[in-house]
Amino acid sequence: MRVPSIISILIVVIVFLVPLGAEEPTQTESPEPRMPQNYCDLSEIKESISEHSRELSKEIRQIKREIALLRQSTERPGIKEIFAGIGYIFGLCGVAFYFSSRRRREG
Amino acid sequence: MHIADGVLPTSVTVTGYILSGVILAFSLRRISYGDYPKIALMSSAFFVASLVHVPIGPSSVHLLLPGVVGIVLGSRSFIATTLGLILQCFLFQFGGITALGANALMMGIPALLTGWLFHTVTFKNSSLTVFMIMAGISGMFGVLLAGLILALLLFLSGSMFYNVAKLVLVAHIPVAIIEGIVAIAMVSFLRRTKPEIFSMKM
Repeated sequence: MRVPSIISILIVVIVFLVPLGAEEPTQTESPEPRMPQNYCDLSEIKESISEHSRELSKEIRQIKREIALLRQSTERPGIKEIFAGIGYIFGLCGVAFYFSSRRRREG
Repeated sequence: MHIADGVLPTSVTVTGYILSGVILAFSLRRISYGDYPKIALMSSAFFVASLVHVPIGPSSVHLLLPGVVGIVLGSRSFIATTLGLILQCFLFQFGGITALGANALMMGIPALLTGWLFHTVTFKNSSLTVFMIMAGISGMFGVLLAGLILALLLFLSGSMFYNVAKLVLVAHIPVAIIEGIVAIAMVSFLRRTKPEIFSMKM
């Protein structure tokens, strides 16, 4: 019973210690091999950002154009304003008739 | 064809208001009982005409009708154009409130002069051809005169509008041609269906 338990403890210690010890040499590795990869990533990111901004500016331009069109269509007088104007004109004509007829009756 | 707020200097806007007020007062004094419906009709026509857009190339122009208003109303035409402009200003936001006097002069003076021109040449018994020729000339003359007054007002407003003034004059040539054709069509129709409409005295 003793021998297997000692062996199992040893196995556990080895299992836990070996990876700790194994990590050390990787940490002390020179960063030179990773550098080109990093540069590559940066340029890729830069390119994707610029492409994204290009797309965004294109969309904004389109939206601006749509806003201008919408503004133009809302500024254009509608049927309501046209009939309101004609109504005003004939209403004023009626008022003029009223005053004129009163003056005629008085005269 | 409407001057917006802030384009004209104060001296021009004030002079415009005073002159148009004086002409309007004179026109109102000459008015008689039977003129009201005719004035209302022509005011409505003038008011709505600015919404009739005619495409020319990439841009479009709209009818002005000072010629036809002048032909039908004679010396009362200033009332119709001023009323139409006031309503266009308040309902459509065409032209500024401060420039209303100048706008009234720009449309009213051509209407008065075309009316005078038409009624001095044509008489009650003139033939339809004479009426049509004079209508064409009056329609064109009205628009060109309005363009000339607009250019003059812009010219008075300062050197930054010199190029705009020139452009305005050139842009009114096609409008004048269209307006002449419209005036011929309207006058020939009215001469045949309702000749008494031209009996307005100057």
